Amino acid sequence: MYATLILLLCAISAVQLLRSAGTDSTSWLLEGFYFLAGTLLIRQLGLPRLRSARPWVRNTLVWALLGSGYAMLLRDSWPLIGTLVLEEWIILSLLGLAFIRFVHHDGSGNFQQIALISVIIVVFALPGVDGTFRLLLITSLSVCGSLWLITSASGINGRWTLLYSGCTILLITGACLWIHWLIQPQDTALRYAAWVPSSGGDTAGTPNAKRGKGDGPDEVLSESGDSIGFDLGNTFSESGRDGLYDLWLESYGQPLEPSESQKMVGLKPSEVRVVLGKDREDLRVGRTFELRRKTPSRPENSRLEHSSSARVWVKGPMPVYIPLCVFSNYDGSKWEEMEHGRPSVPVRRTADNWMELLHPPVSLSLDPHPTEYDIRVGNLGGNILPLPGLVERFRMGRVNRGDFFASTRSGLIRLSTRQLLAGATLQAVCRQRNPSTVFEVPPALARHAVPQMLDTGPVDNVVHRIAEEWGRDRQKGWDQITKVLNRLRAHVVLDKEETVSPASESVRELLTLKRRGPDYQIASAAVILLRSLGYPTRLVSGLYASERDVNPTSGFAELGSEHVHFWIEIQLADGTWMTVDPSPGYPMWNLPMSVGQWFAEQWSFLRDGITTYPVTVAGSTGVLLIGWFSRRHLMNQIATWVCWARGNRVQDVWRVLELRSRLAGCPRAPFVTPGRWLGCLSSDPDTLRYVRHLNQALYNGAAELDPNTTESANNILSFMTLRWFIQKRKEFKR
Amino acid sequence: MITGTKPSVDYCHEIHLHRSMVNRIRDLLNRSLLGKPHVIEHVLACLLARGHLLIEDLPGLGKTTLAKALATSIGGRFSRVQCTPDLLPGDITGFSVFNQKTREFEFLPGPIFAEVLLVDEINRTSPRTQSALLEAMAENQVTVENVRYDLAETFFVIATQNPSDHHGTYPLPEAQLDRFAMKLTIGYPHQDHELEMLASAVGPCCAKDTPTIQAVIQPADLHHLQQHVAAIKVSKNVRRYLVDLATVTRQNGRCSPGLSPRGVLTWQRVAQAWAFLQERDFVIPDDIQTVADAVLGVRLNTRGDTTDLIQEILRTVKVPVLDE
Repeated sequence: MYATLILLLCAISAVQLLRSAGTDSTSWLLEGFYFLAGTLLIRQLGLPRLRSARPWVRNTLVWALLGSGYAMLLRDSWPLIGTLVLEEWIILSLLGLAFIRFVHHDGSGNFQQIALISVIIVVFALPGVDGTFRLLLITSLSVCGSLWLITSASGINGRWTLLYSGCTILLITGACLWIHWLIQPQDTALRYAAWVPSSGGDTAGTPNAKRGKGDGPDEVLSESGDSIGFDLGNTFSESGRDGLYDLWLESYGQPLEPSESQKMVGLKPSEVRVVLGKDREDLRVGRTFELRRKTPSRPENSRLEHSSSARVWVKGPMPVYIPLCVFSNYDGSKWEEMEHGRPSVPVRRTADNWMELLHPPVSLSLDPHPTEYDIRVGNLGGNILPLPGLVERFRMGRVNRGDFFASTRSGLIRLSTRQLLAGATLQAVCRQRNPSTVFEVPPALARHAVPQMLDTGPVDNVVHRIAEEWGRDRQKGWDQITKVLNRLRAHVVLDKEETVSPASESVRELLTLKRRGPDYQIASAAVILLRSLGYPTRLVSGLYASERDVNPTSGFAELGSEHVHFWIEIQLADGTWMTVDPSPGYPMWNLPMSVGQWFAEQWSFLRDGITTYPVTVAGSTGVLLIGWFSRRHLMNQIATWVCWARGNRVQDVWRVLELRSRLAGCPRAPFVTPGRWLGCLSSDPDTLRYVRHLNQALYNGAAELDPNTTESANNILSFMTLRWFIQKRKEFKR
Repeated sequence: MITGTKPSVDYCHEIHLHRSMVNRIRDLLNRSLLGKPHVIEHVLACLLARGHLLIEDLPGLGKTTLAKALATSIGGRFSRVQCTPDLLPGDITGFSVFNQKTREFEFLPGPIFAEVLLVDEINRTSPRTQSALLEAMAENQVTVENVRYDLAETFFVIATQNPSDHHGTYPLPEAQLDRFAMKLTIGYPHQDHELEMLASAVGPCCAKDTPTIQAVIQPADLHHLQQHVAAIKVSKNVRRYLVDLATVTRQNGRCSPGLSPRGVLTWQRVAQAWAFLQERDFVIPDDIQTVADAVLGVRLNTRGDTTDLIQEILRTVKVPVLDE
């Protein structure tokens, strides 16, 4: 029970650590709390059980545990020292564990305790290390764990050893893979590839790469602010077309323009004529995004091979949303971009070519500590700077004139007259929303908003009714918005290949019929739903990068056409726009989630599941419960059936008895005679009769059971399953 | 009695007869030696297996009582030899004396010409005298002055030795030990049985006041029983088990020497007798394991604890269960 408690606590801590690690500087407080609580629990419950171990064994374990925890705390204060110390400690603990295991192989070692402590170390230490180390750690521990289990599984002999060992290794590997998946380390293959010196590029197979490890500074991935940027050897595009407009076409397919007759026939989207995009970037103000599109035809190459087509490289805290286009007007089938308005200079130059915004974002919900992003521009085109939201100041290479920059009406920074060239380097200092204060600022009131931001366009009344129904029993404000968006996320499935039929209205079709669609449709639906409830909202497209896009060698995330994404922004009462992602699978608030929120979300998901499929849930729960309570009878029936199928001879019964005892974990030792073994388990008259017949069969050559006592075989089996190996198991083991 | 084939009426009758004979001996012995049914069961097994018995225990625990009761119960002659360092072989086997009347040498048979011979404190006599028993125990005959004399069919030796008294003793040689079927210890009786014993001793003054023990069977009956036991079935896998066990004793460094082929034969015979006592007509590995302590205890010459060694040997060998 203690072990279960400790593991539960560790699991909660791990979840908490995963959710909060890295993005919030105050999260170390929480980490510390969980770590201390865990240490105390282990000290109170775990260490007394280790009393019989040698002192140095105990001390090694305790120090390994304490050390890794404190190192993790240290890491948050002084990253470099902390990481180094942490790695040292993990190596030490692993070595200690392995050493203990292999020195004390006399069978008296506290395998269970050691295994328990190692699990705790893994759970505590894993969130703190980076991908390569994490993988090594998991591999080593899975090997150690397998050895422990195999060697401590006594009483298994002969041909079963292989089966048991195989099963154990599979089990542990599965568990480790599950942990691996849960923690989601960064791209493992890339890490391995990075160990091998290559001739440049990210993989050994990149043909055009010229530089590699040890060839001098890499200008492409350089972190230096004075870098001159890319050279042409590293950036090459696959097509002559540039710009965000082409990124859309690449990601979401060409827009549809059905004729009236085709609308009436209701042809499939793929059969409808395609309106080809323009060859060059559509730079006109007020460009549109058609919601009805053809299924995109993607290149078949994998992402790794395709990395040279990245448009932007970003380094900094992940996940990050880079807005490139803001849409405000919706006419039922397409979105239209906000007009740029009169050009003005939005920035002021300060020391070291930093451009400071004249109107930086001011909000109570912002975190006081800014975060920094390092951005390299690839083949992006256009004139919008790919900066994350809520920028405070930025620097672009050696540009030292503020009038190079202008802003759009929606607040994005752009180059005033020039095009953005490949190779530009950007550094930006941005603000983040603080998870603890973000909900203290209410969304903007409808009467204070620009009317454009509340216009739902010619949308069917069904959509309005859905919005009202979803937000009915909630208070106006974040409570309602959260409810509606959560319902939307649970209601629809993200599917980038899905398209709407040309003759229908896309939002209504998504919500009522298909419940499946790409992110631009889900985001559109979210905007329409929130607007019809009176919240000023707008649709934003741009690039999205998460932790798993980061190249571990360079620390940069490479963003290409597959990272084009649509999300929404909600206006707050203080005038700032808050990024919210309604697509299922994406972080909704662009903020880490607290344990409470996580549980609340899980609970609401569970509740929704139960209310949606009550019969299925009740039925399967019932079946599980019935199965659990009648497990002995089920086992008994199965075994009896096996005996019957084998011929019901006394030897067959014996085989099943032995097999079942082995599966129950208390097998007969090979030197114990059948009579003594069975007699030790039961002195029932049936058993004694069976033992006599068994001896007769084994040592006097009788093949068949006496017909008068045939039923005793079945009685024995029932008796054994129902009483011996379940109730007497503990007693027997003792 | 469980049998493989359907038994005939005669066979059943015979079995019943055998059972009742063994039960009568068992009852009598149990009345003579209170609270030691396990020891008596082993003594019976030894008797039925035509082996000889070595009892090693402290003085006054009932060794002689047991031997006398056994001898009386089987209705044969009983003789006793008290071993001392100056005892000569002739004192046991007998010797020739000159008859003045017939003017010839006449053979005077010694105590060995009996159904049951109790050799008390056998390790007090010299090896020379101990050797006089070798031929008798192994071949049921003695040779005196080049003349061979056959012993009784059911000749049975019960020897006792005192473990604590090492002064003036001659430890039995391995050759001698190997001729015993088993070694037993009796041990102190339980308090209840001791109380009962005391109560029964109040009243009788001398030997003639105690009720006399009558023979319950005749030597011929015993011979018949022994023949029946020798025919108890031992299946092939059980024989293989015995051989495996013997091999292990020979390979184990702590046993020197290992079990002799005669020892294996004796072990099988005792196991047969044990199976007979358990009302079975075939031997199972349980029988072999049960008598292992007694049979191996007399043969395995170790410095440490013999019981531990025997358990270790039994744990090494897999019990034959199903053909795998």
